[in-house]
Amino acid sequence: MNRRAFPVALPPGGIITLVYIAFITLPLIALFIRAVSSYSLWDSLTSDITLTALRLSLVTSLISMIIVVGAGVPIARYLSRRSGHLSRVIDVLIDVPLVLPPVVAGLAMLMAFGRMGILGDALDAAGIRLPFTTTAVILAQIFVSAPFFIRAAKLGFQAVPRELEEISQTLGISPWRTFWRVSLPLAWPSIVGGLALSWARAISEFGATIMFAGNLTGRTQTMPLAILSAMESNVGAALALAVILVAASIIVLFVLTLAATRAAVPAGRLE
Amino acid sequence: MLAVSALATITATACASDRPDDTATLRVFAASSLTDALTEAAETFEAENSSLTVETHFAGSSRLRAQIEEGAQADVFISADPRHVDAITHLIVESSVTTVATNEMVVALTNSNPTIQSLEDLAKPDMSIVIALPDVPAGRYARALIEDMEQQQGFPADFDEALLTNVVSEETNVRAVLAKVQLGEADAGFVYQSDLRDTGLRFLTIPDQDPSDIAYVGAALSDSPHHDAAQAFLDFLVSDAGRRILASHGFLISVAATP
Repeated sequence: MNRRAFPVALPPGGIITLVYIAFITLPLIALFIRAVSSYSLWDSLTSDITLTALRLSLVTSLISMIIVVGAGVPIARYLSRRSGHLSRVIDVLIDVPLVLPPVVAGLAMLMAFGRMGILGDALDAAGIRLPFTTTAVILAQIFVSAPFFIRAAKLGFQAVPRELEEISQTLGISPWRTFWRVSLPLAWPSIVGGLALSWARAISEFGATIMFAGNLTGRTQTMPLAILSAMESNVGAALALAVILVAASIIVLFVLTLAATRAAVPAGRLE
Repeated sequence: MLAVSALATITATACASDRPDDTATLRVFAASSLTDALTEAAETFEAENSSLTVETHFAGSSRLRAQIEEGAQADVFISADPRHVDAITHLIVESSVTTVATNEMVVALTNSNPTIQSLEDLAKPDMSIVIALPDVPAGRYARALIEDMEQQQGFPADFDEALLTNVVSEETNVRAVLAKVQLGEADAGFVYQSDLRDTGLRFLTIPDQDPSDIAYVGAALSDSPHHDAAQAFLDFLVSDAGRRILASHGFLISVAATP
């Protein structure tokens, strides 16, 4: 290939990046063009099914993220300080949901928490029924999305220089305060980055949800399920739903990425 | 671009390597409920026609129709509802339209809840019922039958509403409905009687069904380069051998007489 054929000399990496960017943006652009040229776009955007699914997706993913962060930060911090065989086993276990096909994850959750599942009788005795509930949607989201957060947050905590924490403690600052004032701010960019990935995975969750939670408008039908259901009758409505989901996801990713870079500044000052 | 064409070449080679050059591939898009029957029929058809390879793709008929409308390359479309064939007359070879079989709806019952003994029980509070989406044939038929039941003797006035309140999930195809019942998570699900073959599930029959209502209609697609092969496959399905296979999977063929 003749390099001079390009007006600007791009290194091979640059060319590949360009091709790759085209590869991932072209389908999204095509999606928007088709959705906009569909005459029913506005009706679909404001239809009850769309708004209900959007609300359910936002609420369930928000609750999932509160739980993922609430549990994930202590887990990540704990694991960041451990080494040895056991912690390596735990690391692998935490990553398992990443490699499971989501449908398998949903099936596995049914086998554990379903009516006929291992815990089925115990849950039933406690009056808890999980399949086909909004709670099941949230559990499915946590199952598939938490590893993204824990991984990123763990790396963040591992990157915090031990000496800084030790200095803080020798200055008489409690471990708790040290965590809040030193460790957490330094790990913050990783935590926010992990949150973005984790949230993206939760909002796009489909396979585990339809298996474990089913598909019912207002209760378990999140955006991805609404898109698939709309495909059965009205491609236009499916396109409209898809556009909303893509737009909402891009906005949240941008906000979180921005938050991550902003957060890096005060952390840098500490050093 | 180079990489893309290289990728295409590799994939094409990989796919083609396991069959001789002169075989044509017939792509059959068929309703999910036909999964087992058509898989067997396709194998028998391939054995009889060594120059043809049949590729089957199963999903809810409405989704298949949408895929065909969006330009999916299919040679034969077999819908569980004539409506989905009628809706795309501009895409099919009119003369090829063939009723392949008919079916009946039943209510599959999970083994884990023995309390359901009659159709009336389905409307009792706290039953969990799974049904296909309204636009999927199995879902449309089920809803129509539920509405009919309410008119019949012995059913309470609000039967329809009470039953639909118990619906916990609307699945995208009838096999997904069956799976939820088989897994024991739903108490009951509206499926075709042919779906119950070999499942060992209890079921309730639904009375007063018109045997020609649920008709599987097949057609060759006009964009297909394999019209003759498509027609041959449809002919095979209504031949004695084809009907034997469909009947052995629980489909009703006596009324499927349109040539």
